[in-house]
Order: sequence, then C-alpha cells, then structure tokens
Amino acid sequence: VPDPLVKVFDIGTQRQLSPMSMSVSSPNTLRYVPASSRTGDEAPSPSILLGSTTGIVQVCPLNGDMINSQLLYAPLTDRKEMMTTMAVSSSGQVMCVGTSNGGIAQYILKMPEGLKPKINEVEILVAGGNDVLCHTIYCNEKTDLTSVSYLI
Amino acid sequence: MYANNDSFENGSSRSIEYYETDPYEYAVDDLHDENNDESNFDSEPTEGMWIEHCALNYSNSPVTSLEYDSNLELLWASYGDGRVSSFAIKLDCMLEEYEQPQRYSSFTASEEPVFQLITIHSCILSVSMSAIQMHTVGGLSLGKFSTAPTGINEDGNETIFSYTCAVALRPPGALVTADSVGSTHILAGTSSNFAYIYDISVQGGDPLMIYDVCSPTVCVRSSDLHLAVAGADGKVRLLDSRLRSMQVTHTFDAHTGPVRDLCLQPDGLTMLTCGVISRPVNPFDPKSPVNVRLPVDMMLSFRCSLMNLLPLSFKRTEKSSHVSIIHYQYFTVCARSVGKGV
Repeated sequence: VPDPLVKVFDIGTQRQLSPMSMSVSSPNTLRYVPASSRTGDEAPSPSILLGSTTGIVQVCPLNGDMINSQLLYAPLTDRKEMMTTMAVSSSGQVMCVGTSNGGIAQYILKMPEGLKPKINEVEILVAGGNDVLCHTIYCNEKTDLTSVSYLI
Repeated sequence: MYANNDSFENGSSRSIEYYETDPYEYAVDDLHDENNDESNFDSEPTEGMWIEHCALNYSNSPVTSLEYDSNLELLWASYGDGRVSSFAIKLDCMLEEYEQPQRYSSFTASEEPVFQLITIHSCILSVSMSAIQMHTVGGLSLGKFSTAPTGINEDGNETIFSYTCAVALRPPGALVTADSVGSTHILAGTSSNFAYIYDISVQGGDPLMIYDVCSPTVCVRSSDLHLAVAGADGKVRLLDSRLRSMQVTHTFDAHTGPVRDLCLQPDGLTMLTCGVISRPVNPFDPKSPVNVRLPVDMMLSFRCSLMNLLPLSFKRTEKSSHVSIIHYQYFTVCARSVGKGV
C-alpha cells in the first residue's frame, strides 16, 4: 500500500518533522523546486513537487503557505497510463512530467508582472562625450546571448 | 478552478485543469473526464502558478527518467526501450517566453531499459541494469563507463548485481565555488547491499569506494553536505558527500516498506521521502489491523504540516467504517472552508 505521507526529516537535528501528504493521492515522486530567479515581493518561494502515478502533481510551497498549494494534472490519455517521472530545471521555472505511454508534458511557471530577472542580465554603461550608452546583455543559461543598446 | 486549452505538438488538444486550493471538491475520476468544457472555468491562471506549456510525444515506450541539463539548455529523456532523446529548450529573452522544445538528438543508449540519466559536462551517462553507458550529447558512444559489479548473493553463489540508480556528486569545493564546477564522482546504487563510488575521470575502472548500506538501493540523492541512500527496507542512510569516510553517518527509519523516492534540499538540512506501507490498510475490511490511519488523517496533517501537530488516528470499532465515513465527510467540508479563505 503506498504510504500517503511524505516524511520530512531535519538532518541537522536528526529528527522527524511533521509529515506532508498529497490531498487526493499517494506520492510516488518528489522533486525540489528552487526559488525562481526573480526579484520582488511576490516572487515564488521554493516548493516541493509531490507526484503521483495517477498523474497528479501537487505543488507545495515551503514557506508554510500550504493552503495555496496547486494541483496539476498530467495529460494522461487513458486510465492505464501512469505518470512515471518528473524533472525540474535548475532555474525553477520549467518542469516536466513523463508518462508510461511515452508522453512528456512541460510546464512553465507563470510569473507575476513586474518581476525582473535577478540573474543573467548585465548592464554596461559606456560614457562618451555628453551621451551615455547603456548596453544590456541578457544571458540565457550560458548559451544564448542577446544584447540591447540605447542612449540614456 | 480554471482550464487552459493548449494545442499540442501532435495536433491533439486537451483541456488541462487547475485546482487552486481544495482538491477534495473534485473526484479523482474527474481527472480523465473529457467532458469538462471550458464553460466550467471562469478565470485565467493566476500569476506565480504552473501552466502547461507543451507536450512531447516521440515514443510509445514509458518515460523512465527526465533530466534538465542546465549547461546546454537541454531536456534529456530516457525511455523503456533504451532510447535516450534530448530536446533543446530556448527562452526568448525579449518576450521572456519559452519556445516549443525541438528534438536535439535521439539515440539508443542501451538494449536494456535506461532508468536514470546523469548529465555531466558535454556527456550523458545512461544507467541501465548491467552497465552505465557514456555518450556524447549528439549520441556518439564513448563506451561503457562501468559494468555492474559482481558479488556473493544470499545463497553463497557469485552473481552479477544490477544497477538500480545513480547520482552525480558535487566536488568537495562546491560549497565555495557554487555551480562553477562540474561533478567529479558518481554514486551508484545496486540490487545488492552495497553502493559504489566511481571517479568520472576513470572510465571502466574499479569503484573508488564501496559503502555497505545493508539493503538494496532504491534511490540516491546528493546535496552539498550529504549523500542519501534510500533502501528497499524503508530506511534512508546518510553518507558523507566529501567522501571522507566509508561509514554510514546516520540512518533514518522512513517507511515500513520500500522507499519510493527521496528529495534532499540543496542546503542539506531537510530531507523528504515517500514510500510504501508494508502492511495492508483498509478501514472497510474487518480483518485489517486494529489501528487504522484514514485519509482524513493525512488531510489534517497536510493542512497543519508546519504546526507540529500529530496526525489523528482512529481506534477500530465494530462500526469503524461508518464512523470513518462521517469523519471523512466532515473534514472534507472543513477543508473546503479553509480553501476558500473562510
């Protein structure tokens, strides 16, 4: 019988904390979602993904706001299909689930308006005469570079 | 609750449902109900929530492992037929929107099912039962990284154990240099009572260290401070991630049955496990155990998970089933109230 509880341990004190659980199913897969690399008061905090073979993924914030946990449903085509695995990107903005029929569903984190990237953005100011040129470089995980220049 | 109708890559369109708070309001069977039309949903996805972006259907074999490669912006997927595929993920920096992932490479990594992928710089390691194969990102085989170790089984005969899982270790300087350094070692769990440490730079060599973990390994995870080895006996054993000792530093009694999965927070201070209860629990079966933990207990512990409250338990009586259902429904009503912010 699948254990509906997710056991939580404090490694530092080597004690077991209060467990967590999925609301409607038993968890089969656990993934840690790091805090999104955005700034702002409403930036998402770290959370835990609890995945079940039934295709349910529960997003549980680690800041204690368990009421606002979110449920996602993997797009299973039939009742025999099961969710087998999950993965979360290191940025915490993309996740995906895999199913027993070979399907992969990718989810992205919809960010609140006004939040700006905290990393991967570099501004270079170049002063020449009376003008200042602001050269902004957007870096996408070390591979894609996009730059925008404008006069201040 | 709201829905998002997305057009998928293969041309199909599915209605994806999202529940913000109370999942008890909807039955699990509704997950597969295709009759949920859009008129039932009256709001758009709120910000800070996960929304489905796309679906990738390139195989009929089960997806056994998924892994994001942050160095190369790739999503790696392994399948039950031994095939490994990668998908390029691109972010439009100006629009800050993710584009549809395109398949970058696809190759057969093993004749056996590949159930674990490890991304190291410019290489991919695919873990199957008999070996750990090494390939380039494009699919060129670099040979076997290691083969499954041999040992003496319980009957006293020499046998070949199989790999069950593996994880890449961060090097000892990772606390200082953060993500700027790559992995240097691999911890591989097997069907035997031993877990093995391999040096990534030594291909085909013997294990660097051997840990006696007292149980077949189900899952391994690593953090900056610890290596966690989850066993089929329901215990989680911690190892020193700095590889300074070959002893198990601590053992947690997590579950009565095998551990299914394990999650270590990057700070190494908190660990979460999910697993299996070894005994059958059925509150509607008169032959089930005396102390039965009902789903309402789990719901209560979930709502109060950070308040140090112990889950409730019910003493089984002759009318336990009836009592259980009353409590179950009662608490469901309570949960709805909480979910709506009352």
